[in-house]
Amino acid sequence: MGFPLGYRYFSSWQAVVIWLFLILTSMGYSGFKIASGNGFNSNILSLMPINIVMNQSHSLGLQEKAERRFVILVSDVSENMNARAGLASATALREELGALETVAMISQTDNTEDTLRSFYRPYRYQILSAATRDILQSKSAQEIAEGRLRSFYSPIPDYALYSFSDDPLNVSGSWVQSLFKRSVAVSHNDLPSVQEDDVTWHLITGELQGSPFNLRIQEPLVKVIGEFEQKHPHLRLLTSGLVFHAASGSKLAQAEISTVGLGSLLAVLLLVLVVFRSLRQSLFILLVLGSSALVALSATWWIFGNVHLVTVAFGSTLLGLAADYCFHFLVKLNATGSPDKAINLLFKGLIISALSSVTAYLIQLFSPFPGLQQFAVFVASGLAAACFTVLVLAGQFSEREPKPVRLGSIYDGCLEPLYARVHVHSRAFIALFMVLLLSLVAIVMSRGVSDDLRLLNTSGSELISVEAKVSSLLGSVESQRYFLIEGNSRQEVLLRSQNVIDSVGLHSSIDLISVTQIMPALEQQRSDYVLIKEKIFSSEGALSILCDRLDSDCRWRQPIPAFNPTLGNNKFPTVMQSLFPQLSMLKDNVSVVFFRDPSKVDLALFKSLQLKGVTYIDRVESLSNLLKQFRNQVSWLLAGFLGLLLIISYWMFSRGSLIVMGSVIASSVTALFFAAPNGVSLFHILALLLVVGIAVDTAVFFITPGLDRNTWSAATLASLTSIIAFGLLSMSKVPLLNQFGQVVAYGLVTSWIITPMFWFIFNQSYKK
Amino acid sequence: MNRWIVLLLLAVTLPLSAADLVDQLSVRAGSLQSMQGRFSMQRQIAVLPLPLESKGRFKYSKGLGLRWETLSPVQSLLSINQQGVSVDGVQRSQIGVREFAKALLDIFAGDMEELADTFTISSIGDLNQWQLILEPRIHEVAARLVKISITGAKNTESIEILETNMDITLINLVTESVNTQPANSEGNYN
Repeated sequence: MGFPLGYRYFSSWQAVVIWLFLILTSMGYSGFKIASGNGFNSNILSLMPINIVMNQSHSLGLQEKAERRFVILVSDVSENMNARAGLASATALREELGALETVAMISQTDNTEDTLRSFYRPYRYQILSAATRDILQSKSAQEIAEGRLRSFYSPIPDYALYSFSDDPLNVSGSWVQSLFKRSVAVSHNDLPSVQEDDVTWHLITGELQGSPFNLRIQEPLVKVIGEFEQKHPHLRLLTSGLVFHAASGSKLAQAEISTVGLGSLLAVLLLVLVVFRSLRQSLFILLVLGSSALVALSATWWIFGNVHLVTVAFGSTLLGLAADYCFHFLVKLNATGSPDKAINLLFKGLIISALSSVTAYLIQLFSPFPGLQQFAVFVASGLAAACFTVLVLAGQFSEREPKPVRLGSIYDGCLEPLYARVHVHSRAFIALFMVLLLSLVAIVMSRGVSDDLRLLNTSGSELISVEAKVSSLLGSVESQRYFLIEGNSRQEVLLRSQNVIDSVGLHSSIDLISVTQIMPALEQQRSDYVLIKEKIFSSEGALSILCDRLDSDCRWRQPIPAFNPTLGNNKFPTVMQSLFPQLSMLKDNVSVVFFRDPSKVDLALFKSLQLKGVTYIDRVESLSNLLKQFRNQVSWLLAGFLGLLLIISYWMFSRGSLIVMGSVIASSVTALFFAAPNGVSLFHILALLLVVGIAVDTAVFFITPGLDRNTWSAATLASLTSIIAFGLLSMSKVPLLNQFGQVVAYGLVTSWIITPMFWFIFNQSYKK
Repeated sequence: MNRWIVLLLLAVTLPLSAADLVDQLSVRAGSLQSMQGRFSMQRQIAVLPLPLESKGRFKYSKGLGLRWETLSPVQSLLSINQQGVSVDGVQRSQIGVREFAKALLDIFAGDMEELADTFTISSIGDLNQWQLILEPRIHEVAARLVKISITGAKNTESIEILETNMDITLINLVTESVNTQPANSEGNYN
């Protein structure tokens, strides 16, 4: 079949001008983006489609509040565990961090008690903790007065927010206690500290003055902490906050760019030098790879505005793929001695191969992951540029003496006779292949699927375990699961929040965190006011009895003031907003009830709560479901792609389509067998699209121009560089990159081994 | 000139003496195994004209902590040990209670090092008649206490607690028996 553009067009001056224009434009645009300083992005979250899940938390303002905060716990872990030395070092670190322009330290020694005292004074007779409410409801005035009297005779007085005359039965003391109810006691010295057995952890809290993903914000903080750790080896630092994950992600991405990029480049150069032994040909490859990377970066910048560091790490495999076209051309050039002949032989294969690979990558644009979409554009544009550059620069080589590469002798001497035997026993081979294939399919299917959220982790396991430890020491809230409360008004939301607390409290001891603990619903306040008035301030109330028991006329005694309905009408003091983040979650018609200890979560109970306006949100489950949904979508996409491939390859190669499909299916199944021992994930399926593209490449080059020592040599070199690139990627610490790398590497090895076999079985020309 | 030398010497030696006294009390308390006795407590609440008086018994043991039993006018039992604070068998974990109770336990144990973590300690007198003044350094304690004054001779005799709301608690202790380690340490109760 014919192509609209013949191979000769690419050696014309017009093609060279277009190529030069493309490269120079890309160079200028890339230079401009790099100079602007915002060309690269390290925000790991921008790679994930979690915006869908996080919409609700975004609308409540949770995310922006939380993502700039960070916490550092410092402890002396030397033999004598000197808490005072630990405190001095932690104070020094706090001062060092406070001197950074990009960080604001959060003071933990604000006089919270004074703030609470003055804020709640007008409401002190209308708010009760659950425990005090229970006492007032269940005990007589006499018993209540006796209880208070006993506390006076203890050498350790009860905690009280107001003086005896302002709150004689100390209902506010119990109220404030309930606000600070937490599993871990934080005590304040010069710095707050948390005790864990014998270890004292000193707490440093700060807020970044910008996005934690901004390298200019995160780097000074990480540098100060790193240097501090080096200077004080006897201290242990625990860090918590998105900024540390962002910094770790950036570091990881940069390391992996170096590993995969440099590894691929070195492998390609080494192979070229060893196999072709020509500086000119090495320069040709460098020019193709350079052009390919330049266009890939420019196209990604042009479409997405910035390039993620992980895309660059992932996209470094492009070097391995782009080199394929060079190898095919150079092998043919050396074999024929004529660039014209070489490109004539290869033209159809090159175009089909580039088109199938670009299509395979562009299908990833349908993936819900912005990271993979970027990657698809990066590699597809890079491959197209590589193919174009090879076609254009091919014409620049001069005629020479044919000198086939020596690698082909392996094919002639060992492999061709071996593959010829396969041809002789083709039926037995096909039967064996089918049995093996079905067995592998059965094994892969028996392993099931995996939608494990940990695949999305981009932080090292150590960072995650430190984060979990900080969370446990500080009794942090569980942010992945919560109740969403909706209502027609603020009061309805508050009442429904209280319903959740009451209903859960009946069956579970879990520590729930709700805005009603700071601001009870008006209905609740009225009911508590009536209770206090009756049980404490009435003529037979506990206060009268207490005065009698104290032999006092209590002349300071004031009548209970009128009910005050204004709690929450005015803005809460800053200290309170910082102490009780649940305040920021309250909007007029929506709020959130969180819980603290995830180990006490009773999923069955939470899911079974049938309260009006209350929805239990499990972001872990939602995200898992999302991954499952995406996996199903991409699986259908892959199936559709395979169907399309079958039709097109049959139309183009008729019987040769068996080579294409055999290679694709065998490579895909084998890749899954080796790379997915714990079930097939979304990322395995996405990687299969690449395996399909690469297997088609190999098969197409064998069909046209045909399998011989030169095509085999080129395919071997091409496979080897890609195997090295994806093999390096399979060592990535990021699970999804790791899975991608493994699938493609195993797929490539299989396709390299098995495609010649199919060619020998199904190729008509060989039969002749 | 001589007068200046004397003043200079005093300026140097006085703070040393205060620190020495705290150290000596600490050493002496180090040998203490257990003690018990009676107490009387007067609590003056700011708005009440008369102080609230109570009496009872106390028992301190190095391993078991402090047992504070009020016998009149109400009966209650306060226990403070490493596990925490309980009143009549019910654990208490209110704000500041842990720090307050620990301070009381450290006072009975004479553990000056632990007290110094929570309070700034100043002292007057000598081993035969001494007074310690503890002023809180920890935020939670300073929010509730202005200071604690402890006086004693051979044993601790009184503890006065001034709270931030101006309530004053005065505890007088009458020690009936003291058990110490075999007398190989320097300072000894006996």
